[in-house]
Amino acid sequence: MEAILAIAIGLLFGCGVYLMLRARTFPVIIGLTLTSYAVNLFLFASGRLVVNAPPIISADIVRYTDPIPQALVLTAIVIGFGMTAYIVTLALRGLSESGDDHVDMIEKTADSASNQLPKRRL
Amino acid sequence: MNHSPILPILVPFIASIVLLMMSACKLSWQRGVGALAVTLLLAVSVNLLLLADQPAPLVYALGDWQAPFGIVLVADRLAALVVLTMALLSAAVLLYASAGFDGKGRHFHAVFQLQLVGINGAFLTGDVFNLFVFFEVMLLASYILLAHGSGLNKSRAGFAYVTLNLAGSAVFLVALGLIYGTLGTLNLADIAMQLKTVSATEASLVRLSGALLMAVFLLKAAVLPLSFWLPHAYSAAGAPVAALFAIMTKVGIVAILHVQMIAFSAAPVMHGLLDSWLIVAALATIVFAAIGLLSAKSLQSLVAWLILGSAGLLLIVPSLNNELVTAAGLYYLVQSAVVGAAFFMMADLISNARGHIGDAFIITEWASDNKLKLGYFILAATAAGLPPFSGFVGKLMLLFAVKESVMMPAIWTIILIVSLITTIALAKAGSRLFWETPNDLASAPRPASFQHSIFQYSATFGLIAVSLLLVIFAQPLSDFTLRAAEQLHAPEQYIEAVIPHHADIQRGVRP
Repeated sequence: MEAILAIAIGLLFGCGVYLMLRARTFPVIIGLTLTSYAVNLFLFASGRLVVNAPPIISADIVRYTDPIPQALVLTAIVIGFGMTAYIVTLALRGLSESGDDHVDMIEKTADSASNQLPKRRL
Repeated sequence: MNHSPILPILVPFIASIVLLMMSACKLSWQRGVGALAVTLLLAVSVNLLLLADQPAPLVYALGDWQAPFGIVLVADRLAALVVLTMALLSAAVLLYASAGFDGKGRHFHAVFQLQLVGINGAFLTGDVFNLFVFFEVMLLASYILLAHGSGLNKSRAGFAYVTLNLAGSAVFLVALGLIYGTLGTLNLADIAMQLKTVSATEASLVRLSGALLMAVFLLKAAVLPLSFWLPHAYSAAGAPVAALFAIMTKVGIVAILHVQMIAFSAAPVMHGLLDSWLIVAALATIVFAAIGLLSAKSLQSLVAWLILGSAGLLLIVPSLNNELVTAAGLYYLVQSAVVGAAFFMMADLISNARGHIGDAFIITEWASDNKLKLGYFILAATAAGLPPFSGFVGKLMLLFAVKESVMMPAIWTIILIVSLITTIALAKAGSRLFWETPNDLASAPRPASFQHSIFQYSATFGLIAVSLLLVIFAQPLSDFTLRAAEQLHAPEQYIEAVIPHHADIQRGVRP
């Protein structure tokens, strides 16, 4: 199980970093999301992988799973949601202001932007 | 239990909730609530500083869950000092923004208070995961403030800033996962204790987690390979926001100081984590900032490069690990935050008065008044480190403090040459802005006469007055920073205050 999880985390990280280095805002945001998934899995694994064990202390149980990484992951997921929502809004604002989804958001002047690419309204 | 350590977080937090509910109200009401909150924040910060000025730091267990199981806030002298500096800056920034900047977008006041929550929380917390949460609160508020107002420039700078910081947060979480996975704790004091008994098989993982954590803080503190975001973001932000951001790089440095001195310094596993290379990176940052100063095309971007330079200077502190250097660095931290914020406001005042040309270094004819000239002169002399201003006192203390270090020749040479370059850059900028007149008067654009708001003037000159007070009261302040440095370099007291009976704590065995 550890090997599968490790490979999954590595794969997500790799894809995330690759996409983050792209030049368009959409792949960058997808890359950030993949990275945050990888990080959440990693955090979860920091409490060791335990199957079929409760996280709550009880008198007749000897085997537990660590509840703290679960709480940490929950916090990280919530924060990640908020951040993703914000960066999507920011990317859309850049798109509507520059008429282009390039991360550099260079404003199209009348010469460079031909009439085939009208300013999109959002 | 004394509740004063949580008040600097609670006051702006309640204010931000109230302000969110008031978002339909008139702006003047929102300003009133914001001003009330900041005044209260100033009062509780002064109170905290007076209380924290004792050998053992104040510890506040949230919900009365004792460390290491609960989250604690720890107000040591360093935290209390930076919280007070923050409160002072926020009062000036709020005053400046109330002249009309706050109306350029929605929810300025609520987000502003949230920003204060994040920064104060990051200063006061004694738990690394809680530090992450407060960092995120601070960053989310700063993303919104950076984009406050309109303009493509802000969207562009904002997108890069957010992407970079989200990547930084991912690394932060990986570091926290490694720390929890190997040490089984996230409390700063407990980490220090657990590091003493780390097994040989996990030593390299622990060291890696420390290195990752430092890398994240260095990203926030803008050390050279990770500092390219700062000039862009800070020169694109609106002036009051940039003034508030002047203290944001300091959050990274305070986090480095806390984690390094309290948790890592005594542990053999973390030995030599920073001191072998950070000094080189810090000096490189200072040189890089000096080159940027010479290339700046507008006053606001020039100030952004000044902020980067002072961040580099402050990074000498964690890399040398010497009590006197820390004390000098803390004085420099306070004065550079105040002067940086005032300088951003001054750039905006000048930019407004020059009409559509703004603060770009283009020679034009405009009605500059003597107050602006005087303010610019004081700020420029302070930032360059000329006597008798506070920048000079700070740099002098730092130069004296590094006298014993082996790196002394390099540090002295670079700081002194960079001070000269800064003086030249600021003098050139000042003569471009104030003295030179265009050759062809008829064709030069003439800005309409501009009336500054009394709010903007009093905020800017209030901060300048504070920077002058920092010279007059340099002795008590440097005594205080020396005591703060002593406390940081003796982490036993901190650990004892947070976890009094460390040996008695029963720990479960990890699966």
